[in-house]
Amino acid sequence: MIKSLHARHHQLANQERQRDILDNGIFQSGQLPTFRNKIEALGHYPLKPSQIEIFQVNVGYMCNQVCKHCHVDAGPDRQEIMTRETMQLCLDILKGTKIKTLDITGGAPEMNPDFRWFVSEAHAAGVSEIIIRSNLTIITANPKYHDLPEFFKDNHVRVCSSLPFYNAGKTDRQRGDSVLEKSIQGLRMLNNVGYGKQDSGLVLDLVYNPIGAFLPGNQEQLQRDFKKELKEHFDIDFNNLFTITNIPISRFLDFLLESGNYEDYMEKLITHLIHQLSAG
Amino acid sequence: METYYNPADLKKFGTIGEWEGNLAKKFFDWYGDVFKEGDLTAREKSLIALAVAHTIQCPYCIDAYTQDTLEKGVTEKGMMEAIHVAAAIRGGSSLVHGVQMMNKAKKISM
Repeated sequence: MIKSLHARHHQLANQERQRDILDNGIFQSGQLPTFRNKIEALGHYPLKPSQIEIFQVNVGYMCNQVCKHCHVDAGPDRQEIMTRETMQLCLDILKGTKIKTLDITGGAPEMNPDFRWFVSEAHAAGVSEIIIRSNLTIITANPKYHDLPEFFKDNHVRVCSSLPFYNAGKTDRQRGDSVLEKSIQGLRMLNNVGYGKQDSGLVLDLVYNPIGAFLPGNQEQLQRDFKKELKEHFDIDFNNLFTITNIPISRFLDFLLESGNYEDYMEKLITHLIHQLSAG
Repeated sequence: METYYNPADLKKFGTIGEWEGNLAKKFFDWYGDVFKEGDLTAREKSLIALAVAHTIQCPYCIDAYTQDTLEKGVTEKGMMEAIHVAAAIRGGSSLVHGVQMMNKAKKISM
């Protein structure tokens, strides 16, 4: 298992260094359009928030996996986790606003010892929707996590899980040895309590991100593929597949630089972003 | 090292319109339509393009459609299967002309 950038004292563990790399290099020549210039040209600068719909809380960098692309450099060697006191402050904010969705992420958020308290309190406080970003393998990692599907069900949690591909070759290359196999076990345990099953009201979404320096394809097509393959090969059901694009920070930035893909990826990413902004 | 092919030239494809804009526009419009979903999916078309790219051995096309098929979620095995289809047709094309060779040899031989 690889170590986090933080544990390796890697230069990219420093966010200022990441910004230096991103602000300079190919952006210095002025050949690439910038987000700010495009927003200005469209008359939307500065962007202003209208309302807060989702309150996303990262409860710690501790994780049982060390994914090669991790944007927050999580891993077993990261000890930084949110305290119960800070969680209480989050709950106070939720109670005082009309925010509908609490989105809890990590690391593996379930590894925070106050995770279940936080979720239960949020549920008791009447938060309309609680999303847990679960990496799936945590459910099988240790007997103390085996009842997570029941816990999620009891608190009407919406489970949102990363699964970059439906075969082991691609998934394990990004997320570690045997991750697909363990993820399938986790999915099966979630299915067994009703998650992803029709009319259960228990939502299980999957998140696809590209395994390399390229952009995600058509979301509907990939959802069709995942539904077909996961059903045929593993008898797994889920609700929606969402495709996300890897952002060039932290370990994914390290991969881009080390593999010599940084400039091509940035050009492609920016070209697509500007094109989509232009298209409205 | 100087070579005939430069990967950076692929991104300049659109500049062919600088010397003949009308025909270039027709080509790029048609190209865009060709790859839209039809009776064949966009992914099936991308795989055909990947196979053809290897048949015509165009490095720009191989670069572009390797990326495109990966983005469209084709497995690496599936990509290689497509190239074997291209190779089988190429190989078969040579071999089936063996019949012509045999016909000729039989005709001129006693």
